Amino acid sequence: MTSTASETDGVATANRVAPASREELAEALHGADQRGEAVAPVGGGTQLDLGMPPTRLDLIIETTRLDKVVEYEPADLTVTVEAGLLFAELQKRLAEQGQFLALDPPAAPGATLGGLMATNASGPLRFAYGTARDLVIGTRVANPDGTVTHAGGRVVKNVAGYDLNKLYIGSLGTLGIIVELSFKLAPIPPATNTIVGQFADVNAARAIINAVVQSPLSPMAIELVGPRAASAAALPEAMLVVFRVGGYPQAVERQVRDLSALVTQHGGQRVETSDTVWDDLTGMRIAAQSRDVVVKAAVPLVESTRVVEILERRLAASDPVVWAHAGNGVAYAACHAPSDSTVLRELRAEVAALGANASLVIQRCPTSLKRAVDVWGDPGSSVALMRALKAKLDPNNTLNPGRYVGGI
Amino acid sequence: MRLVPINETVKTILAVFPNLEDASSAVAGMIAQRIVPAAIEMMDNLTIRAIESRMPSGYPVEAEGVVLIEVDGLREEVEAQSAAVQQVCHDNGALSVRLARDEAERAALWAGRKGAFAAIGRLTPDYYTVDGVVPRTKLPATLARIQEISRESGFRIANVFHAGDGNLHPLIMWDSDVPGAEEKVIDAGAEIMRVCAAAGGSLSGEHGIGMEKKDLMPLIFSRDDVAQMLKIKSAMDPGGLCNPGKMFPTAGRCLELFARRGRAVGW
Repeated sequence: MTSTASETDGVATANRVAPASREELAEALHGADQRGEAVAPVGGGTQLDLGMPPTRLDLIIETTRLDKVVEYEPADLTVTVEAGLLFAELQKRLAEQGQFLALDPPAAPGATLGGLMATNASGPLRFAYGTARDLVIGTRVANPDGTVTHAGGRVVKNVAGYDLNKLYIGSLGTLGIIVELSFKLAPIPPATNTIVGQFADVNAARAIINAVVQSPLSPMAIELVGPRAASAAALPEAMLVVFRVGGYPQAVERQVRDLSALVTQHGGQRVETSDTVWDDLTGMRIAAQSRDVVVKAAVPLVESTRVVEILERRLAASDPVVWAHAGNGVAYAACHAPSDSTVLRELRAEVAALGANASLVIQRCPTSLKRAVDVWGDPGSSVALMRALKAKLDPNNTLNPGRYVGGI
Repeated sequence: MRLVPINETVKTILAVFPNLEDASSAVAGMIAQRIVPAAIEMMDNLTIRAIESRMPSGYPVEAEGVVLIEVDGLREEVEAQSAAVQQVCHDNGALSVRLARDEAERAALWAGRKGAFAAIGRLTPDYYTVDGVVPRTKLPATLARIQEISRESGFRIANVFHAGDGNLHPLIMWDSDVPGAEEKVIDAGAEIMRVCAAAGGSLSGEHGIGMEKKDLMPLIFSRDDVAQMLKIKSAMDPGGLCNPGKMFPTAGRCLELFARRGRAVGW
């Protein structure tokens, strides 16, 4: 069993509200808090599988009616939006001005900005542009005590007060409900291109990635794509290294030339591709999100090829689709559910051995597996601090109880 | 910390404008053309004169606004961007635009900017460095208000700022030997903070809050906003041992300040 918009891991409620303003939303949250009810904030409901099953659920609060662009001044390269605005809708609005939010998570069409921030979703562009924590400049949240508070602001440089933006991002709705967000934006590069290299030898792939990250070349993304993932994107069924480049046309040409030469020098073979190959890869990642199991590994950058190899090998019996943001050391696998949790435990142990902070999070899996394995893994020594923060910001444990790290 | 390789190429451009409005339009023009330079530093006439009197850096002393722009990256990218930047400056009324031809010239152009604070220091017994942020598009209006504050307060104010990110550094020139000057100069600085806050900006872009600005926090944060930050503080530092009294408003002082000068948000 997985999750739908009205239930999470089999825990369901018929009570749902979709407030029309942030004040109404704060009131609904405060009311639930006073009645001792547990609340699940929901945006587009596309990522409800993330986390452990909730321990309680009495009310779903939807953010989808908070869907306005609050302020957009293109010359400021910033935008402020309500949290229920669709990610796709924002990108469409920004593209009209030649700008974009430099974030490309594998988001389903219904994904909202609030949901993507609460889950700290990211994609290949994190190599050049960073993740949500680098792009969010202001956050407004509704709190269980009924207040609506903001942190940060609408300017790109700001050190006034604590930077709570970074705390709310990735907190999975356990500290407050995000109702408004301000982002810094980037211009859409005047030209882009994608270079695909096919490698028979995983060490050769490792060598070219290390060479490129240490060169002055500046791809927007460096992706490793495993054979099944490649095949799912209509590419040759082999280990691929994919570079996305953008900028002025003459600079894009130079990067295509240099990266193609590096592919050949490292014993790879340049794959001739269609213009849509980058979109096809995006489509592959989005489709993979609906497989039974999705895991995310974080390892030192130099271990990107090794973690892909580990994911392919450990999950081989479950038809894995594997890809990595190789310039960041972040890898994903999406596959059928393994017969028991042992496979996932052993996988986690092997990934953890790749570095002091290496980790494996199970982003999605059947509820039955969640009973056998903690999807977050060992939270480490910082869990006490996380609990202290939770106790201060949500003292009655109203928000998404039980779903977060360490049972928070 | 995440590291990045050093850029292949860097180019520095000096553009001279008849006024700061045109200089600001040029910055907006760059962004409209999808160029985000690595640095855009602006200096006003007072700063330019101070620099040229101390260490001549090739800034024309009659200019009302000098902009130093740096673009970096791949050779081809930098060539294209620097050509576009120069064109945008010309299109927005630049009196002259100069591209540093070599490393020595680049260093010379930057030497002026880097020595700006010291140069101002030679013109005045003391100066008070203010740090505020406004959205990029609010820079011209904010600078105009700062000139008014200069006239009203009687202090000369030089402006050096990071125009690319809207971070202002007005330098208020004053003399600590003059009785009563300290309170007045602090008031002028606070007034600049009010202008930044009213423009949708922030009280600090890089230097932080501290004793100086903690009682101005209500300009941009409500009582609830601050309460939220204090909850974080108490979770992480329950004994209140870490830098006590350095960031949050002290109730009495704060109310007094706002009773006198008006308009805090939600206090």
